[in-house]
Amino acid sequence: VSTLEEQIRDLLTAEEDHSPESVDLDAIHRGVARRRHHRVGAAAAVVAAVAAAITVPVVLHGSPAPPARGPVATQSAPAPAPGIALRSTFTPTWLPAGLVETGRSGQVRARPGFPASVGRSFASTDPNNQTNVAVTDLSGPTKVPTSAKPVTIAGRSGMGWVDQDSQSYVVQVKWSAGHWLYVAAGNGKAAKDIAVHVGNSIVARTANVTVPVTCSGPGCTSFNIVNVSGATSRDLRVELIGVPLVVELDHSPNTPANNAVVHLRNGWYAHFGPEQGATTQLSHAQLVAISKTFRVHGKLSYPWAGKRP
Amino acid sequence: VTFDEFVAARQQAFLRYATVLTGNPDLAQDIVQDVLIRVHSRWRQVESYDHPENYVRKAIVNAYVSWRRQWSVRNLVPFGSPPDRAAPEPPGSEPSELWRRMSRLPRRQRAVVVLRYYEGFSDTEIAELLGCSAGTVRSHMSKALAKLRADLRNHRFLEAL
Repeated sequence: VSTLEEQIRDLLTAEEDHSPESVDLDAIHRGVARRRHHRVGAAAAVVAAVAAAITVPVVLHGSPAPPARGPVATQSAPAPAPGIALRSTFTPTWLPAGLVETGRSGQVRARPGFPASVGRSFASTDPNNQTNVAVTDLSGPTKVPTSAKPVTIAGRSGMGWVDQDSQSYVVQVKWSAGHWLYVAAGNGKAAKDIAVHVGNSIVARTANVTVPVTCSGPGCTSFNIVNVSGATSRDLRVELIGVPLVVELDHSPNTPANNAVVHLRNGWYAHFGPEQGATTQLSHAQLVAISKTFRVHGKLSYPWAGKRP
Repeated sequence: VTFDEFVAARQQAFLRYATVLTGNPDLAQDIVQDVLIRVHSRWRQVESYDHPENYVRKAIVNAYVSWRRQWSVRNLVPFGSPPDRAAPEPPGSEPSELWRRMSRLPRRQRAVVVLRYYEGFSDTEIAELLGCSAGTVRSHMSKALAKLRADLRNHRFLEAL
C-alpha cells in the first residue's frame, strides 16, 4: 500500500498529461496591447502596492464620514451621497496627441509609506500608441529613490526619476498642503519630456469619481481601493477592494465559481468575491447574502471615460 | 533570444508546471498567458537573468496563489446557483478521490504540496518562492496532509457503509 505522499507524487506526475499543448501567442500580443491601453501608470502602482493589506473602513452606508484629508475630501461633505466619492485636484491642460482618459482610481485612506491618492490615467485607444500618462493627487509624498534628480514643475521644486516597475518617468512635487502632484509618463525616451510637459500644464481643476453603491455584511465597510477603468461605456469596469470583500462592476454576467453575481440596471453586473489575501475567506453563501443587500443609488455614470480633459 | 522564441521554446514546460500546480488545464493556460503578458513588458530585463525561466515559474506560482478573478465562460456560475466550491474535472478520466480532495485545498496549501512533491523543493526554497517563512510552509504542509488524510478516511468510511 503506497503512502499518501507517494500517491500525491503519482497524481501530480499524471496531471502533466492533461496540460494544454501550447499558449496562444497572438492572444499574448493582444493582451500586451490591451495592457498598454489600460495601463494606469503611477496611480495604479501606488494603489496596487497597498491593495492586499488594507482594512481601513470607508463610508459605504451614507453614514457620516470621518474627517478626510488630502485628495479624498468629498467624503466629509455635509450630506454625503451613499457610496464612495473621490476627488482629484489636478487636471492636465496638455496631453500627447491621441490620449484620452481611461481610468480614475484611488486609495481612500493613507497608510504608513502610502499616501491617500486619487489618480487619473490617460492612454490611447490605438494599440500601436504606447504613450500613457498618469496624474495623481497624493495626500503626501511617496518614497523618492536615490537616483532621483531635482526638477521644476509649474514653478515648484520637486524630484524626477525613472520608475523601473512601471517603466515610466515620474515627477513629484508638493502643490499645496495635503496635495502632492505625481505625474508618470511611459513612452520610452520621450517619457521624461512628456512627464515634465504634462506637469507644467496642470491646473487646479477638480475631477470626481463616484461609486454610489452600498451593501451590508462582512467587508462592506472596508473598501479602500477604488478603480474605475475603461475608454468606452461597454468596457467600463469598477473595482472596490476591501478586506475580506472585493466587488467588481462590469458588463459581463460571467463570474468565477464561488463568486456571486447580480444583474443591475443599464447592463451592469456586480460581482462579489473574496479578497484572496484575507485571513478569513468569505464563503459562497456569505457572498450571495451580501449580494442581496447590494444597492446602486443613482447612476453609474463615467462620462469622462474615453475623452480628453 | 526574442520573447517569441523564448515562449516557443518554453511554453510546454510552463503549461505542464501550471497544470500540475492548479490541477486545472484551463486555469493553467489563463495563468501562463497572463504571466507572459506581464513578462513581455519587461522582457529586456528578464532576458538578462541567468535563468529567465525560473523567473517565469516563480511568477506562475505567485499568479496562482493570488489569482482572483477568471473572466471565463468556462466558470460561469449564475446568481443563485448553489455550488460551494469549484472542482474542475480532469479531462478524459474519472477523477480519483485524492484528486478531488487536492482540488479543494486552499491555494497556498496546494502550492506547497505541489512544490514539495512535484518539484522536490525544500521548506526554505518554497518559503522563498511564496514570500513567507519556512515555518509557515511547514504549517501549510501539515494542514494540507492532515486534511487530505482525514478526507480520504471519511470517504472510505462512507463508501464502506
